[in-house]
Amino acid sequence: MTDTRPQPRQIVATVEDPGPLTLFVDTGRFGWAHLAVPSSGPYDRASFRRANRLVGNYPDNACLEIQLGPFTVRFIEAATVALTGVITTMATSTPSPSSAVPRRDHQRRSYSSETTLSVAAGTIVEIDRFHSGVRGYFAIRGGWSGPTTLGSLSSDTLSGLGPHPLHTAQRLQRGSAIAAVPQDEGRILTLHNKHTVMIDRSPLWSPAAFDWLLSTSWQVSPDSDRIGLRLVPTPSAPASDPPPAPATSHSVPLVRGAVQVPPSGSPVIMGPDHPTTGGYPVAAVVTKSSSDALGQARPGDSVTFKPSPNTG
Amino acid sequence: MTIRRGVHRYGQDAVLIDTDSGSAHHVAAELRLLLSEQIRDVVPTSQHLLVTFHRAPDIAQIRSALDRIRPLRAASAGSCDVVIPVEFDGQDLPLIAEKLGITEQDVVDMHTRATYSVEFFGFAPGFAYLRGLPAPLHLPRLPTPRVRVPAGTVAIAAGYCAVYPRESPGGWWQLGHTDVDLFNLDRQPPSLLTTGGRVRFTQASNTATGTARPG
Repeated sequence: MTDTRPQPRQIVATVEDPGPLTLFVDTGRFGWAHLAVPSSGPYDRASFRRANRLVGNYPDNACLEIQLGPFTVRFIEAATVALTGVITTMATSTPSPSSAVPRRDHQRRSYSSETTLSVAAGTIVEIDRFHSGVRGYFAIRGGWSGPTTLGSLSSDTLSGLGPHPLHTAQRLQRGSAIAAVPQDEGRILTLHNKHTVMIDRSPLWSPAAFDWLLSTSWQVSPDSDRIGLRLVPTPSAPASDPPPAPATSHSVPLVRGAVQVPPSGSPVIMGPDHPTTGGYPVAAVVTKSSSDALGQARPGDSVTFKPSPNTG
Repeated sequence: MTIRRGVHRYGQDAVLIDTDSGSAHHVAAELRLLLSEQIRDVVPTSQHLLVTFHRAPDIAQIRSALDRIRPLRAASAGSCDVVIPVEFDGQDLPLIAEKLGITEQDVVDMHTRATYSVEFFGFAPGFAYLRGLPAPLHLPRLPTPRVRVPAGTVAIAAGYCAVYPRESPGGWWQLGHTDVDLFNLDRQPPSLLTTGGRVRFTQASNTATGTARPG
């Protein structure tokens, strides 16, 4: 469970290349939704928890959510780290004091993701642009640390609450919340570009709307982010129009995984930074595990909906 | 008092409860007392209450809790009203006056005579949808939202009034602005307004005619 002792912090690393988008994530910013504060937190929650297990952290220690990579960080202190959720290569090197020796020759070693890594002080860790997957979770034993907003360190890309995305030369701090010994799980990650997404019924629209999602072939649109994943019909398999929207256009509450259908007919699956309310009809709700897996879906990937085993 | 309310699963860890207009916040407060350890978040809106739980909830237990809710007592007039002074210099004020065939001061008077209540929060942290806008001022949202609405803007649309707590895009008609700080992370609680609370607006100066009101 959460360690609530005050956490001493230590500057442990410097960002050399933050990549296109790297954010702090802890489990999320909960308890404030009644004031329209999004819950944020990791997109792929299962991989986030696994990253913490690999380094012996509590399940809710903060990680870095690295989107697409590359990402390079230089460790000032020795550390134990792990990267989960994506398929990529991590290279470690220890620069020689002499700048005459090129970096690529500095005792460079390569590792795959999904392993626990111990690095000495002075080590540079270079994470390659991801081969598969979109969001990698980079955990450090002790947890990444920083000032919280409304009880959470998570960056919220919708409301702007929480820290800014990481930038070059940023100094990173580590906490001391350690739960267990690091647990390398020997996991072989496989990622696909065809996603079967489980859905439960929505109380806010008709069975016809649910069936419309099931009977259409979808594709992930590039117009997708942490707020929502947008789908368009697969070009080769034209879709029928959605059924008529419910009569009222009042704002309704939204949950992570809710599938909203705006007038354009392109469904949007709510992501971690989703707004707490919305004015478009909700056709279904994606299950938690399917929603996590969508955090690794790339534009162009195919999506097929199936009723979840729980749903009637 | 037992009112049969619809309780629906909404994803694995949440339920959506059908509520009467304006009562969602009361149901939320009562459920928080009865099921406190289990509830993660509540989101009231005008016709529904979302309750999210730490673990998949037991619907029968929720129905049983709803059966034990006490009746909502109407707040007495004047108690704990939040009063917001407004400089009525909004870019849309002349347009609204023209649309209604009245003067800008008439629009201001119509707006400030009403008493509002916070129906729910949505769209952005601290953005409160205020119910109570007089019927002549019910206008649909602008066809094209503006890219940048300054923090503190007092605006109306879709039958509601709202004050933008932070700068954001927005499609509401802008009446004016206030310096009152509606949402401040350094304050506990951060929001000045609470769901179910009453709000009134006053005119900070006689902007429509350009003369300052005596202090």
